[in-house]
Amino acid sequence: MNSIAVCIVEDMDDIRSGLEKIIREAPDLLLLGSFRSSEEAIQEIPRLQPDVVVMDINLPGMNGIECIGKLAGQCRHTQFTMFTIYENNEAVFDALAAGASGYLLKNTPPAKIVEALHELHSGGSPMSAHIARKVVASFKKNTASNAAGVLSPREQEVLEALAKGLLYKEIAAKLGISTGTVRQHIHKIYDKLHVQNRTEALNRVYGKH
Amino acid sequence: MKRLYSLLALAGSFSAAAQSEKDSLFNLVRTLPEDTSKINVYYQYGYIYENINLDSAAYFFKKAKAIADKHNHIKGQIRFASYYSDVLNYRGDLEGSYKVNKEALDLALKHGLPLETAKCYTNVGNVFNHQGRYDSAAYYYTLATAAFEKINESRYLNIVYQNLGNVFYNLKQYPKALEYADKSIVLSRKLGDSFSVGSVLINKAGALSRLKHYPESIQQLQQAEKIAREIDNPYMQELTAINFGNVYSHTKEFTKAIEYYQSALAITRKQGFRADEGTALNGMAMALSMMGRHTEADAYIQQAIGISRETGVFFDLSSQYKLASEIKAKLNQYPQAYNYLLQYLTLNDSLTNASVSKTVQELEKKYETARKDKAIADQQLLITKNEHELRQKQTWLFVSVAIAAVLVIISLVSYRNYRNKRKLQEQRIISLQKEAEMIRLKATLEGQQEERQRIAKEIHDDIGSGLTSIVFLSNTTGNNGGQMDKIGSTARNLVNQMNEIVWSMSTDQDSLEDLVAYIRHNIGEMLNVVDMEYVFNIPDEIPDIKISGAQRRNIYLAVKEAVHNCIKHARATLVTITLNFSHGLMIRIEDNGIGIQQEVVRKFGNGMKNMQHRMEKTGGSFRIVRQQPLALEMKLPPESIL
Repeated sequence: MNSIAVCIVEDMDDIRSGLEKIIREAPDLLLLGSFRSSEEAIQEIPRLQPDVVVMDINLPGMNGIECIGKLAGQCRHTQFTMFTIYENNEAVFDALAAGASGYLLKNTPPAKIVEALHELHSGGSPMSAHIARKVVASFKKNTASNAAGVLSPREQEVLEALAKGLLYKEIAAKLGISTGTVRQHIHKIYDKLHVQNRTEALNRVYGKH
Repeated sequence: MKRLYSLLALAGSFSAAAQSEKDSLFNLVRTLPEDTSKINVYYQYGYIYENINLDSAAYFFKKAKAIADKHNHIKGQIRFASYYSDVLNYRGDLEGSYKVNKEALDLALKHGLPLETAKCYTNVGNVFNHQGRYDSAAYYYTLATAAFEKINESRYLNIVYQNLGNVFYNLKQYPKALEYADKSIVLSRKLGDSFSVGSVLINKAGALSRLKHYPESIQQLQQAEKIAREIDNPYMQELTAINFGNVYSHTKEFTKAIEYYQSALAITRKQGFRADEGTALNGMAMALSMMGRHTEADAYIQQAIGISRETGVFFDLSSQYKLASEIKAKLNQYPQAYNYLLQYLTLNDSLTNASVSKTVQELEKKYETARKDKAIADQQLLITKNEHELRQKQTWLFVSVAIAAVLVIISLVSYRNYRNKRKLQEQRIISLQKEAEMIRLKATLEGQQEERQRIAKEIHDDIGSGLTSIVFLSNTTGNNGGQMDKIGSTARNLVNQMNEIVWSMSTDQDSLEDLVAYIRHNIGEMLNVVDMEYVFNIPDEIPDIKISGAQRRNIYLAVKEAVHNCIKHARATLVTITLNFSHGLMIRIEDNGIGIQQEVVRKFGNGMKNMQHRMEKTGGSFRIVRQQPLALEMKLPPESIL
């Protein structure tokens, strides 16, 4: 079975080396590269084409959000996840909009970090109530109709439930699916968010409205 | 009193240096034999833990004492008092602190140890000082000075002089306060301790001001100002400036007063000394009001009130409400004036006297008139003799508050100095800066200034980074067992708490809907973890209202506490949380458990009080609707929503 290739972008030494150790010690994860700054990451990651990139938001020089924006286009099969201290940070949503498919709290115990990376690789993502609300708002703003035009009915349901503050477990029970499936829907919602943003960017560039 | 202990808790150096110190001490602790050399190590180790985990600190102190007891090491036994009473002070157990110190004193007297006796006298005096029992404090401090003078111990003596000065000030015996201030200045100069000279000069100025010797008071402040510049201490600079402002307010040289308040304001804003920023704003409002510039005064007092609400300093808040009430009355805004007066009275019900009730009646009358006619018919707000007296009283109150705040902080710093002489300078500055940081942290930003947001974000990121580093270090340190895990989990908890603060401060999560979703999610998580059944009754339509960060946080924490109590005590299997928005916000929390009896209310009475306090702080209410099984109701009426 193939290991999941992971790259790290994190400037705080203690945290970076801690994370490196966690990845190295996990059986199905492979540490492909570890970088201290966006600039280094931009040089190397397109060459390495990892499966997953764990990216800190506050980096010296270019920040993590911009970095993702620059890398997402060149790494079509890479999943980006933001490594953040706080869940309720405004930057998290910006990162997700820019191309991240998930976020990981730095506070998370090592075993759960490994779990989350596996999950992300197999297409499952987390979403907090606050992020859900922002996603709703974002779709509302950017499409002529509402998100119904872009999201599937099930995705709509999941998103609305998340925005109300329901837990994954509760949503799964309510819709008769597993929590894993709930997270897969979230992942797809992020994908559509990315598409929408790229479209918007394109439209801006070509002067369309 | 609360601020005293938070400052105590923050002084001390938990830094990278402490980390390696801790490591080497840790090794010593493990390898040394259980004899007297270990006593000191245990004390030092415990001292470092005072800022991390009080129980661990207490544990180490007790271990030290056990060895000292076993080997009959008198000095080791006596030192226990000073270390352990710190822990007791942090916990608010002043009775226990007194007992421990008294035991040590008896030991010192019995064995004829003059230095220890003198230190013990001081410690006992400190306990009384913290309790506000100033005569007892003075008594013990005086014994201490005699003892230190006998053995010629200048540095400790200096501290006790300062403490005595403060205590006599609090007893309103100003000539004595000045006497000890002068003694301290002489010693401080001899010891080359400019910081103390400056601080004591400010205290002197306060006492002289009370005696109405304003020119002399100014003289002291000028000297203090010079020193503050020399040692480049912004805190002393702004305190001096505030005191200048206060004195010039007394001498009615309001223009000068305002200049000084402005300069204090600039410094407090630059340094982030939130509480003093409030004092400076208050002073400005006062002076401007006296000059008849009521509109400007109004702007300043509102800012001051904003800060006091954030920092939770009710002492200042009550006099600020009073001032705001007067200013509003001057501006003929009677409904607001009346409201502020009510808030003042609610916060401060000890000040009911004839003149206040007379003012209330007058304002009530005018409020009624204004309400009936919808016009302010009666333009003349009579400056009655009573109102004039009241304003004077208020001046004194706010001046003494400002000065008392200085003295409290200074006597507190002296207490710390007694504990750790060498690190005096650094610790004072660090503790004051940390207090400023913590106050800044607690500040909920109402989206007024982006600069404040930016600064707060930086602090959160910095502190969050630091804590996260600790989490990672404790992860990967392997099997050191309990110690590292405890540190790691403490750091994790702190990050979670800060997450809550970040949430409450964010300006794009400030709607009622956000609050509801946040409560729904986090409380659901809490109950899910302990496998408890729960039902949320939340209306589909949620009104589009915005709620301030401070209110959101208080409401959320009150709900969290209620649910936590339920999990811990109720022996319930189902929790029902009902929200209702028909009249403001109503949250009802009930379970199917055993409920509470009267005795239990008292036992975890603190929890109930906390919730009540939180809700009232935000302008809402909290009540127990039913005792068996328990049902609680928290309300926030529409007029209170900020």
